[in-house]
Amino acid sequence: MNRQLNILVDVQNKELTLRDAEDTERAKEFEALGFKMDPEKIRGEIAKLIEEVDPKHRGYYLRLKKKYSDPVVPVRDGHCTGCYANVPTSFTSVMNENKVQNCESCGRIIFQI
Amino acid sequence: MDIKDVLRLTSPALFIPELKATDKNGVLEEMVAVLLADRKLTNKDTVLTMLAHREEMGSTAVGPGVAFPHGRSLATEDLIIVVARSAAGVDFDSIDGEPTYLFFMLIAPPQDSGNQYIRSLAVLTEKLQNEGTRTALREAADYEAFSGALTEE
Repeated sequence: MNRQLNILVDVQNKELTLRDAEDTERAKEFEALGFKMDPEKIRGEIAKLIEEVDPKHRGYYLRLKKKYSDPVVPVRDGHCTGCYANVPTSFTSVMNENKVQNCESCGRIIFQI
Repeated sequence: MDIKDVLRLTSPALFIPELKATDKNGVLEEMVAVLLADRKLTNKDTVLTMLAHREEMGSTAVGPGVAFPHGRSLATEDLIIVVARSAAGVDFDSIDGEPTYLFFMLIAPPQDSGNQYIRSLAVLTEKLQNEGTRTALREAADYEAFSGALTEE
């Protein structure tokens, strides 16, 4: 997977951790089991990563984020897991190029897992 | 949720009886490789980077001798557990500074109904508090014996 896409996937995974860390009750449960939760640190890491995204992709990602809670989603069985629309077969052939692809139906950024 | 429910989230294919890795990153890589092979996934970075960042927030080797690398990832639709052992032990930056011998890696989906993710962690951490259980798990000959040791009262 190319670097730009890697960063965006990383950001999205961190957003998932952040949701748990910001959920006071859930965060307390994690802490009680001995696992540290540090929402401030995660927010800082997300901001830093977003700075590393190429400006043209960054702007698109930030616009998507306002629209969807899951702006970056994997493709499973030939479908975008955000809207379940078919993804063209040409999608996999460009994964190794330094491109960020989006679902033609919903616009979410898609990647192969 | 009890230990039998937790065991349904793993399988013999997700069990590494003896890790080859001798350091923290190596352990995570080896366990993720097993997960990817089982789920027919190709993108290891999706899971590995998430786990490495989770470890940076604070080691998941909450011990004694046990680590629970965990986190949510876009890579999975279901909660999945990979189990591994190291007879020699690995430096996993544990809280007590001692080597880690048993590893339970939990990869949770973006959303999980019934809060299975935290509940599974809670069941496992409680079960692994028992020294007799930990010893039995380290000595178990195979997956069957391992899961038997976990479910023993």
